[in-house]
Amino acid sequence: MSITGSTQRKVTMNSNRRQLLMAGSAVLSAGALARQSNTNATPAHNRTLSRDTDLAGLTPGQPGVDYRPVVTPNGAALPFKVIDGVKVFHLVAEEVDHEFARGLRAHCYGFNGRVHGPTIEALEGDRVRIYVTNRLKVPTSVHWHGILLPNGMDGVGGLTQRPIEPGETFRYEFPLLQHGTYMYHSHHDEMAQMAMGLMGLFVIHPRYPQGPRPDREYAFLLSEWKITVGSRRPDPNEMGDFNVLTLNARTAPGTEAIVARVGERVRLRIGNLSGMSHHPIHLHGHTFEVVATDGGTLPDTARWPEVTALVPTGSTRDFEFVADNPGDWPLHCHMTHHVMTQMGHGLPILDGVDPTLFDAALERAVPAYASMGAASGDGMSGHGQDADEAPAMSPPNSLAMVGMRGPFGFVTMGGMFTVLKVRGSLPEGRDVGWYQHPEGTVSMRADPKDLARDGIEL
Amino acid sequence: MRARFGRAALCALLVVPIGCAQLERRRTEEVRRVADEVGQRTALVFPPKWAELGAHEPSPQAQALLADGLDDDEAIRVALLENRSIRAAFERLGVAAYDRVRAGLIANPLFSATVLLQDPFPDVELGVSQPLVDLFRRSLRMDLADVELDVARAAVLEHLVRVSSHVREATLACRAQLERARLAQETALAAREAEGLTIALHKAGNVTDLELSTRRRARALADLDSLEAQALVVERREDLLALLGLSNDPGFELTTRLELDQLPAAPAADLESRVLENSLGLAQLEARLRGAQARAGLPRSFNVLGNNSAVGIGAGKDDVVGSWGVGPILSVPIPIFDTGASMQSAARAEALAWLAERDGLVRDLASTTRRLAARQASLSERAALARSELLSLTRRVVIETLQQYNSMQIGAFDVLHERELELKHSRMALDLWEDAWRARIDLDQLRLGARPETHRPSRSMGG
Ligand SMILES: [Cu+2]
Repeated sequence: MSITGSTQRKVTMNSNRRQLLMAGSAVLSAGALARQSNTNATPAHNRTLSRDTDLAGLTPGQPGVDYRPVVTPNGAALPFKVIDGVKVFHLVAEEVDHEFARGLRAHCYGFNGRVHGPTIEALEGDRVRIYVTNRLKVPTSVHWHGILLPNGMDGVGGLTQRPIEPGETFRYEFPLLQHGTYMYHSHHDEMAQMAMGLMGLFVIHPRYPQGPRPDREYAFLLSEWKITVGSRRPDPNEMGDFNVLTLNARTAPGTEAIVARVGERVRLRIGNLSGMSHHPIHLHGHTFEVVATDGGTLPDTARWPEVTALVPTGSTRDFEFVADNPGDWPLHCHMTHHVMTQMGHGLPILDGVDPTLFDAALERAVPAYASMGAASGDGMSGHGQDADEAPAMSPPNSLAMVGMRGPFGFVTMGGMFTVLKVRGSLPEGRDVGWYQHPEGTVSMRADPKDLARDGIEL
Repeated sequence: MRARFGRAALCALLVVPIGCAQLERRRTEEVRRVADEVGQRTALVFPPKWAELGAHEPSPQAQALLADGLDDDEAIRVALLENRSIRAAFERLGVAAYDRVRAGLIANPLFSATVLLQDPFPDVELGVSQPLVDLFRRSLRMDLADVELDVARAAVLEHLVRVSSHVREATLACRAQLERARLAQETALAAREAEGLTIALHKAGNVTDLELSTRRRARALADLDSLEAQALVVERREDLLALLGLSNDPGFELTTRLELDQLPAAPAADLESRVLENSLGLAQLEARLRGAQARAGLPRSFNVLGNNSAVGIGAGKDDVVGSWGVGPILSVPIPIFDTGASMQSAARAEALAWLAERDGLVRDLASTTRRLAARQASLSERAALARSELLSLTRRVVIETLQQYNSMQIGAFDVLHERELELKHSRMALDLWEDAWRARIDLDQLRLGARPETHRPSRSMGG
């Protein structure tokens, strides 16, 4: 007996439930529910509810009571209300002037004024009704990526529904028969609309958690953009040369750091909806396990320790680790070009050549260059002092290719990069600042006495 | 025919002697008259005090002008003093002036004497005769000499206006070529920097032989261009020196500062009528027309009289009786074959020819005025557009390219390439600016009475 069959039988016996359905939905009739056969195969590893559970009898999950809400760094949770036992959400697709980091904004697509859309959070067994209003100038639809639901709720424009025309509001409604980290995104002209940012996270907490519970959960959605330096709109036609790599649509140094107290169990829910790239996400100072995919929880026997795990595009991965190593630890994609920002290509190779030659030549031959104040002397041509601020010498609305300020100077990483700050104690509501290293634990220029003692000849 | 009687003394009285002093005064008067007219037309005080011909050094007046640099008006004054073609034109004016004086003189009387040795007495005939036609045609001759003098005066003025205009154009060309050479030098500098960087990159193994050769070739081209521009600076200076009539370069500066954003003002509305009023070509044609009309208006008999008619007195000694006799002499052609009609018709035809030419010139002047005014307006508009839009945008492009360079989106070569384009566009704006001012100078020349040469090559129009 499948859970759906059981549900449907229960539902047909539950007059309240049926009235609700009859009153509220032309789409989800009892007959439609009867066609939820795709959920018959819902595997055990992404559900904690028995197949016989009467979903209608479950109370909608309350954040902070039934589950610990995830933190979406730089993001937000989508608010909801409960109407007759159904969690009602409202997504508004619209153009959003989005800031990727201070100094770089672009006209993107988002939901409810945010890029990406707010994180939808619910509890396994909840029934959700999600209204989608299209305030874009183009038709769209929303696909609930990885979620097991009736075919007509899958949100594929042209295939499972007609597209939502500008100005229209569509209703999606389905029970959440699983738990895990999922995503939602446009599934109409998806190449363009996803390149413009039309996506978000959908986190379903287990109704009955098993195993050790994380103390902190962070959710990240990875994506990639092409924003020509100095322009203000992502280029949806780009296929390979993406130059803005983001965590929750923010690029370092615009990414929020995440924190953990020493000894806390931390879960990172990471989804990837990049147009073309898979991202090997690397955490410093710790080993973690991938404990779940969007297919379900991995059995213990299928887990192994990692310091880097690939998050393929169109997938989610849940990482878990115990933050047992105090410090400021990078968490980033390990593809080196993905920790650059607005990287230019097609430049001459400068290695092997004194870089000051170039500035000197331009100063002699181009009066405008000399008047700009020109050379910074670091070979980065004016970049790197403060990546938080685009130098006046750069085009407006652009970011330095790499870099952010760190406690020891210049951090040559940007893009898909943030910092995990592990501390013995976390002061409430205060920036934890940079890690204070214990005496003698920071690498520095070698003492000649040490060199002599160890026989290092220079 | 024997002229036997006459009173030679009476005839001698008809002769009005003209002294050398009076001749010189006449010439000086003409020169001053032309100088005054130059003054009226060009607002230049023109002191025709020339240096000795053949002198190597400029006149003291010219030297004083040259001492502290020349603005355009001073340059024209030096040309008036030193340009030998102006001097020659004035000397030709002298020729016409003297001819006019000569036209007022009556031909000298003719004395003839014949002696035949025979018995018993020699036969002696003496005669004094005055060419008859000269008496009748003196006034016509003077009119015709006036015509020639008017033509000569207009020609001298036209030459003066033309040379002044050429001097202005030459100083403009000097300034423009200096700027052009500077731009070419800057372009060569950018190309040289690009070559230097490519050499460094090539040495490091970062670029191909092909890139290096291409960059070197670009530098060689830029050098060639720059060398040509510098050679033309020398040529333009020589053009100016030749117009100023200087046999060597005293090293003066050109002090008129025409800023590149300064453009000629639109011509006055009454330009066309001013051009017709002032035209010196028209003045010459009108004088010639006047001459032909004067000739055509003479009675036919004047033409018949010819140069053989004379009246006089003859005296003769009779060979038989040996006594003297005195009597009048008259010789006139008999108008049987040449009635004088053909000469009159020819004069009328000539008058018609001059009239037609005059009419043609009036039309041509009106058309030239409109064409040059339109050219000046268009060139000024384009020059202004080039400066206000093209150059400011190209400067923006350079700065924005630099910003992209600073953002490491593009390389130094892209910046240098944009710099070369900026210089190219500056040169384009300069060409338009120079052409606009040249059109203005042409228009001024036309207004002052001298029609500019047609088909003048223009830089900005690919000339
Ligand atoms: Cu990556």
